[in-house]
Amino acid sequence: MTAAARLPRPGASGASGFSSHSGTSGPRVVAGTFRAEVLKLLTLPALYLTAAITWAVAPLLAVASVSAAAGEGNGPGPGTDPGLAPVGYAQAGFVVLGVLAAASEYRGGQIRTTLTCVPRRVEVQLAKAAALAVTALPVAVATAGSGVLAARAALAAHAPPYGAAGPVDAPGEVRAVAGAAAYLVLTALLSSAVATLTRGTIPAVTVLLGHHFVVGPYLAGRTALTAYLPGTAGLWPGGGTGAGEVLGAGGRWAVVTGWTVAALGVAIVSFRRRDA
Amino acid sequence: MITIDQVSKRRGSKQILTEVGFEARPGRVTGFLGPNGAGKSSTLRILLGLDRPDGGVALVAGRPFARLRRPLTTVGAVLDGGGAHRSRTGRGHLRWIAASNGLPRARVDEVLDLVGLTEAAGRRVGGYSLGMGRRLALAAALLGDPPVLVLDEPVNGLDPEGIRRLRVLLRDRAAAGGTVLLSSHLIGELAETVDDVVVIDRGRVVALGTLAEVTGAHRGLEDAFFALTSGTGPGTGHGGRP
Amino acid sequence: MRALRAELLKLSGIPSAWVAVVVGLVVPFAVAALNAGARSAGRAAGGSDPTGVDAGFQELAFGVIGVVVLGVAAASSEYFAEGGDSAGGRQITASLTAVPSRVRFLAAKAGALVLAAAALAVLSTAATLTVSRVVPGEFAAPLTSADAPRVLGVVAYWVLTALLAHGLTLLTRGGVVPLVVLILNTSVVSVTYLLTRVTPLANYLPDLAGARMFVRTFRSSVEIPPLAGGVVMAAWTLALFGVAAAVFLRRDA
Repeated sequence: MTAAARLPRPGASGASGFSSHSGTSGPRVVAGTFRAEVLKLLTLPALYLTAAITWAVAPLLAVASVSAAAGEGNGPGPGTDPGLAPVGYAQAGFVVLGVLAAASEYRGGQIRTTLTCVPRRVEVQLAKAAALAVTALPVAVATAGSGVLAARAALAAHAPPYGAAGPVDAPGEVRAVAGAAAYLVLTALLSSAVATLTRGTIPAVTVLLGHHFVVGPYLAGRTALTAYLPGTAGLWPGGGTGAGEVLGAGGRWAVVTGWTVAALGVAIVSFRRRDA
Repeated sequence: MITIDQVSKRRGSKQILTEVGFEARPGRVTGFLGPNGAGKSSTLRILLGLDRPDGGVALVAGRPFARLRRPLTTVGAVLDGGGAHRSRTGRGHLRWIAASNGLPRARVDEVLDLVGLTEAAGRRVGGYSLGMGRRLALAAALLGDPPVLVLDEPVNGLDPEGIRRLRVLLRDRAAAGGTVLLSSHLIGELAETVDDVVVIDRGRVVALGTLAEVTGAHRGLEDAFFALTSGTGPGTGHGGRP
Repeated sequence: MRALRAELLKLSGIPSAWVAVVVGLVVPFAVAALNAGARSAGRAAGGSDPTGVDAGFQELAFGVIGVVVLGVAAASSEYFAEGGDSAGGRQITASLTAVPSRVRFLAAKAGALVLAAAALAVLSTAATLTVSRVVPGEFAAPLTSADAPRVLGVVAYWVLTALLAHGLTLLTRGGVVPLVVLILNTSVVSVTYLLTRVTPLANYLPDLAGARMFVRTFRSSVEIPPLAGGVVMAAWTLALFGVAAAVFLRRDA
């Protein structure tokens, strides 16, 4: 085969042979940016793997932690609160999801391709956040759903007060699942913002998991400060200072959402300023 | 049309570029020549809005790159390093790029065929050879059928057949009225392909003009290059700057 | 020796390794300072350790995530490079060309990791134990010569954990899985602790057995003497590192 056989014929598509850049309206351009970000996430095998493992393993660990707390008979404590059990370990999966989604840009220099496709950096980051939220949501609902069911089943197997879950309260369960799912999506977004700042998986995963699973829980109950940190630590009722009572449910949501929005904001500002 | 005007850039305490200025005109292939670390990639990165200049402007079709609504229909770029994630397939890589600029999905298969990657399109980029990675990057650059092409060291890793095909393709784009800017440190290859030459050394443009003008009294572009740049080559000592 | 020096140099050039150093120094120190503050303010020190005999040591058990990151970073940096200008990406090819014998390469890598982890452990232990004794003043259980083996235990625990993390990363060829597994397992309610509810055998898993070397108060029905705990953890580490090495030696780079 000769080289020329495969070359584009000049003039084949219009007088110049080049695409005519007819004006495309703003919304359609933004929709393209968003679609590209969704496609990117959907073509990364590591994300499917993370989602599948999270969905499969987190409810098992939820059952184990609830059973452990109930079996000990000393009541739900940090990490074993039945209300939080479905979220507890699942948030590790969503940390990884968020970190991989953002850090994958920095493998193989893909970020340069991204920015030569869409040079509007704020738009890129907003599209990324939206795409991550949209793709993480079904995974979050599935994980939270099975987690809530699993924790409930584990509780029912024990004697009161843990077994006294009472009749199935449908609106209550739906609220629990919705709340847990929303929290997990926010976790993924916060994690992606941190990874955008670090541009690497290892520092981001270290900081986030270290905070969510080691430092936060360890501090919970020792200082009321944890109520103002992201993660579930401030939600845990155990501990002398009652960190969980510092803020109401609404206040906790404000804290978690606030951290997420702030982290995304910082990530966008730094992404705009730094050389790619 | 590409216009680089008085572009300067510092990184830390090091002056990477000092008032770099040149044009790449439609209908011509412009070669951007310089030793390693002379500032070729930095200039191209500023042109593509990846890095920010400390001074000066870089324009594509009269506008800064960042102001283009659908840049792929104006500029196609091949940068050093592939630009694709290892675990995505070649086709998957091109599909999100097409989506980002609202290009029809059929274009993906067209450009895959154009660069000869159709058979490898379903494989993960991590398994590609260096040359295949470069061809994938070229496919991405051609997706929007742009009038301007910017290529950073495009022949790295290409086999002789690939190099020849690229040369014909670039000549063809220019013949159809396109603007082509390519950087290289392979002088012999460049001399075969380009109409105009810009030589950069230690962050400054040291020569620019047509191939004949820059070659001047030297035996060839290679001799001219060594005379113009830091002078570690055989051409040192004879010849001056135009 | 030359290979060892090269590995130490490589390690010091990895940004994540410096993240590891900061985490390993700051986390146990800061948490110990906070706890010590709470103790001196006359508050309960947190259920399991009312006498304060584990003050400082408990925090060092968490601080081990520092060397987890170190072990992961040392291995995963061979397999992928992230960031702006990664010329090359997979360093492993260059590494194996420089040190063709994979056994020597692994030995040098492990040696560098052991040295770095031990140094980090010594520094962090000194800082953490100091702050946990100085801040509470009279409330502190004083350190005696009987605590010397416990300090050695902390260093051994950190070094062995670093090697575990390293072996796991060599097997998975990526940093995320070992990080998630090992950091989750350093949590207040660790996965291995949950497993002890299912079977007492779980007490012999590396982290729980190894922590016996320096933590005195345990919520567990199984008694393991410190030295035996250390031996159990060392056996796990050796086994895992052996498997990882065998896989590494057989596989294409």
